Amino acid sequence: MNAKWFPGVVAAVSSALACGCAVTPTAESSSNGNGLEAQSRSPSGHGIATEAQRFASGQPDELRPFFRALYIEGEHNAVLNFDYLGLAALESGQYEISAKAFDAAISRIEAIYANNPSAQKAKSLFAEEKVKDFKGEPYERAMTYFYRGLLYAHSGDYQNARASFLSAESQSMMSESESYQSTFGLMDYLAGWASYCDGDDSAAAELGARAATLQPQIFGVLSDQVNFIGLIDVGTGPVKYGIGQYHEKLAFKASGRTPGVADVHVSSATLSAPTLAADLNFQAMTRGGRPVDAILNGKAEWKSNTEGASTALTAAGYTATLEGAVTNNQNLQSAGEIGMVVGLMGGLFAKAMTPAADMRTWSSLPAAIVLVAGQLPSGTAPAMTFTVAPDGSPASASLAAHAGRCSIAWGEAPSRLESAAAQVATPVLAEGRHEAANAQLRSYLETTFAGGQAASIAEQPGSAVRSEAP
Amino acid sequence: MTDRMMRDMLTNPILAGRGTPPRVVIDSEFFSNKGTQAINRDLITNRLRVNLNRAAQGRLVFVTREHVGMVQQERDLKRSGTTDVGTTGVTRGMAGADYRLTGEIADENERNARTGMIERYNQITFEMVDEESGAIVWSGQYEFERAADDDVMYR
Repeated sequence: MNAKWFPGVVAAVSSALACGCAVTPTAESSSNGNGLEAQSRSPSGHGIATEAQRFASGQPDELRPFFRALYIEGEHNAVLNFDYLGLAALESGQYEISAKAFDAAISRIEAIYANNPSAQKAKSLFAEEKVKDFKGEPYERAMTYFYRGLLYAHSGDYQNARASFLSAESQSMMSESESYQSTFGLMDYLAGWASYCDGDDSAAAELGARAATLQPQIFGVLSDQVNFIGLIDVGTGPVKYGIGQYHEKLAFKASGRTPGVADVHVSSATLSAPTLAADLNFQAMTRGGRPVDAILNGKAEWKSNTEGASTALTAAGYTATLEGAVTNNQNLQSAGEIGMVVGLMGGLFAKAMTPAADMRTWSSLPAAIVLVAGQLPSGTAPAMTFTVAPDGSPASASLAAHAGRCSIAWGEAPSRLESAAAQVATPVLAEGRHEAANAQLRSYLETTFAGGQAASIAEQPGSAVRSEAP
Repeated sequence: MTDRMMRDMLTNPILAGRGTPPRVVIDSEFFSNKGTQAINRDLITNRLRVNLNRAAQGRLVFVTREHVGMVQQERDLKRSGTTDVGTTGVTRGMAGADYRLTGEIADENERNARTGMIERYNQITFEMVDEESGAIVWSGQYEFERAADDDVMYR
């Protein structure tokens, strides 16, 4: 190695460092934060996008963006996209689609990912946590079961409604720390209510008492034997963010102030006062540490140490090279150059290490759930209207049903349809090693959600798709 | 499980050893899910009824309660003269049931938050109830336990 070779080497290495394109699997986040690897257009990407467009065009207008995202992103984001779809379908009164979407999300949440390749890859120093298939944090998983429970109650299947609410409660308790065990009394209360509706008064009393023990100030004063439940989702759900030098630790914060419900009216009903019965921000923030944090923390330490060593080696090599050049000491100059190159290569490796936590979020969740309970005249379908404090205009329930012994109504304010559609507007292909699984998912979508006739396959304006690098 | 149930029932002399085959109702009407997992109860009872019907070879007669309306409609057509009486003759009433299957599924779950180990114990109890006296003429209980640990990335 000599002085003439040195500027070229440094320039090449520096250039590689600057663009990060030599060995780094560049992360580029999409609008829904799914952040798969660097994408560029490819023929297969266009083919899938076209197929997705055809498939989505046969679905109800307001749900097309969700079907399209699901089709394109495949298994990698299936739980997240099924959740978005399920909630949007619930809000727009497409209950059958909603139920199927939540069922599909639940089957994946319950799958054991012991040898899942994407989970293994996420442990690598050079892959971010978000390369794993999304299952959601405990509060997100719990809400999947909660909405499925509402749909079972809507169809009068109170036994499966109870099972779903109990599963929601169980998912919310997936904390590593014993000090963060269940505070989701609403799910026990609803499971008790579903038992009452099913004619199982003893289970109703038992589960009602459990809810009252968990949150006596809320459920201690409510009867566990009422024939009407009204639930209202209010506000916008928790926000995920990364803390630590490399955002390696997942943290949660409220997206804003949680509004209350000023007024609820249900035809002919005697109701309890509206009560904030579940606080999702609290559910998210009391999750405690995740075992995966230790892995990400280890990655962060590796990255920090490698960066430190690289900087020191590069600086020492630079000094030695200069000194060798000034004193005309060829050996010193060559040693310095080697030190610099090794240091710069170390920098490249450090740059490629990606310890950031997975921040994909089911962002259409509410901040809280407001509950009213009471008695409706037997056989009456509820007509619920409500006003969210302080300045909201009156809104109506999106779901209302009477079945058997009981009635239920559910509504939300503000509507989250548009913001959720915006979140899934730029889906990212994730074929890679997922091709077989994605093909299976797409086949499932085509048969399960066989909507209407195939429409134009021309892409709609603004329906950008980023496809995978060849 | 349904295969085991079928064998158990067919070895019971009250159910499958009578000169006149007893009439049995097997559906999900009185099969309750008291567990923490949503299930399709019809899947279990339909499979049981179909397999039992095949294996019983006439030793049990299965009676429907889900399709009473359908049967009544055909009976009315025969009696009004719109159709003839068919080839199996007419009866004064529909077949009354001697026995009906009831059941309950329950579970217990344990999750170790530190290791991610999930253990699920399921218990399904079935009873065949005499529809006249209320006596339980046959019961069976089936248990299964599963355990698995999820990847650390999902805990």
